[in-house]
Amino acid sequence: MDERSPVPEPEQLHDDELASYRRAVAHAAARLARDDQEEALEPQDPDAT
Amino acid sequence: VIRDAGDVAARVAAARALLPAVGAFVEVTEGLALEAARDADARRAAGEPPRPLEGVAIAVKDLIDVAGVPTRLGTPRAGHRHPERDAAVVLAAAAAGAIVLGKTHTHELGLGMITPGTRNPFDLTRVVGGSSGGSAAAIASGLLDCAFGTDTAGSVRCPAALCGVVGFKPTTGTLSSEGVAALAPTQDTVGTLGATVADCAKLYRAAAAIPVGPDRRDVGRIGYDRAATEHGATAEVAQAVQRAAAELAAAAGSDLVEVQLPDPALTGSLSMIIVLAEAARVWSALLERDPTGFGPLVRAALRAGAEIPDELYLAALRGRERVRNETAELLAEHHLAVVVTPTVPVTAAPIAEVATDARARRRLEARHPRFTALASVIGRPAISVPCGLDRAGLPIGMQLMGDEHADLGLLAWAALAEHGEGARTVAVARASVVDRWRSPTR
Repeated sequence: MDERSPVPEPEQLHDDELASYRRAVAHAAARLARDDQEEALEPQDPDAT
Repeated sequence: VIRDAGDVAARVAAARALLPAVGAFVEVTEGLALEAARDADARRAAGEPPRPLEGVAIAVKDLIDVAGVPTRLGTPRAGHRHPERDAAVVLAAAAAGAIVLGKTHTHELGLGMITPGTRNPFDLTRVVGGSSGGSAAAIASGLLDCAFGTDTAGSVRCPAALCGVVGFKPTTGTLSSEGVAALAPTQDTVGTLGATVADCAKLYRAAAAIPVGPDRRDVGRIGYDRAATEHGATAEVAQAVQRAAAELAAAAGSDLVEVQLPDPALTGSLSMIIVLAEAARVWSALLERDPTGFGPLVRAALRAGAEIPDELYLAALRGRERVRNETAELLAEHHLAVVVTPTVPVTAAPIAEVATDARARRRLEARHPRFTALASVIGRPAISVPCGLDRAGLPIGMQLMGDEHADLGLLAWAALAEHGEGARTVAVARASVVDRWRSPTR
């Protein structure tokens, strides 16, 4: 392992990772919302019941 | 196969020899293996007919219970259990004559694509993939031919691809999850890894209590998402998969049809939300009681999962249904029996890179399941078959996804894919890897 890149303390690792997961979840939520909107804009089959 | 106590001793010695370098095993179960070998010997002496897995050594991922052996889940402490009963799949395999040689390393809780502590037998400086990394490494090093893993977003298929072995995720719910630690119950699937498709298939058949017999290929065409492959994978991976897909079509006398699968970015988003939210539900109570029983990265994942609002989780379940329907329509419209993609978009990354660079690790964790998440989200069977090597000699895997509950048919397609030129190249390379590990002077 490169001694110039010390591994962060566990709590720092946890905090950094939690922030990263929060960003990833927000990104995923936005992607889902876009999919939901696209679905709502799809023309509906007038014969569908 | 293992026939007697001498064979057990030789396998145990070989398994222990792998520990310092490859780190495939958490524990080598010598006592259990000896007991099973003695039992098999007594059956032979009594004139009983051989069973389908008679004397076949297997390994079991350490999320799956083996009676009398701690299940450690890859966590520092949290959730460790001391089962008195085998998981249903282990029980079924043992009843078919399999001999459990050991428990293999998993990425913590199955929530990760690296399996820290386990190294790739093709190149010890490279990751093995995850989360069933120990099982893949044990097979790649030639110690045994079959192992159990679990797959929630690609955890059987990804390490299989990076280690040049076969990894099969059956239709979700086909194999019992009794005695298997949960991560995301609506996506969790026990799977099998093997040196060959036949090895995967025989362990799967035993675990599912399906009698031995021929696996028949379903009639149909082969779908190939060229755009997603070329956009999402490295050029070397994309070329190897495209070549193998074309070869498979020629060998099957089938057409290769270009199709557009659901957007991998969407299926990845669905998978992440579903997995994190469900994992938090499974593990939150224990996380509250014993936070440091988990590693810091998994603790963060579980906390992030607990923050996911119910509305977002429910939106992901609705999105899953849309993707499931869209995929079913695509297969029906083009009369597809299987759909081919890369398994992992890249080959095995250097361990040093992901161990010291958090951004590189997160990129890897996000990128590995790009093509495997779809089958997990919608519950379809999928299998990774080796299909080539990159310039560094590292294995590339091709994924075949089949129709729901057409598991045996998919295995038959995979067996045909295994005869491709790229697959044979990997088999030759793997044989030399196995020789290296068997050599006393390595």
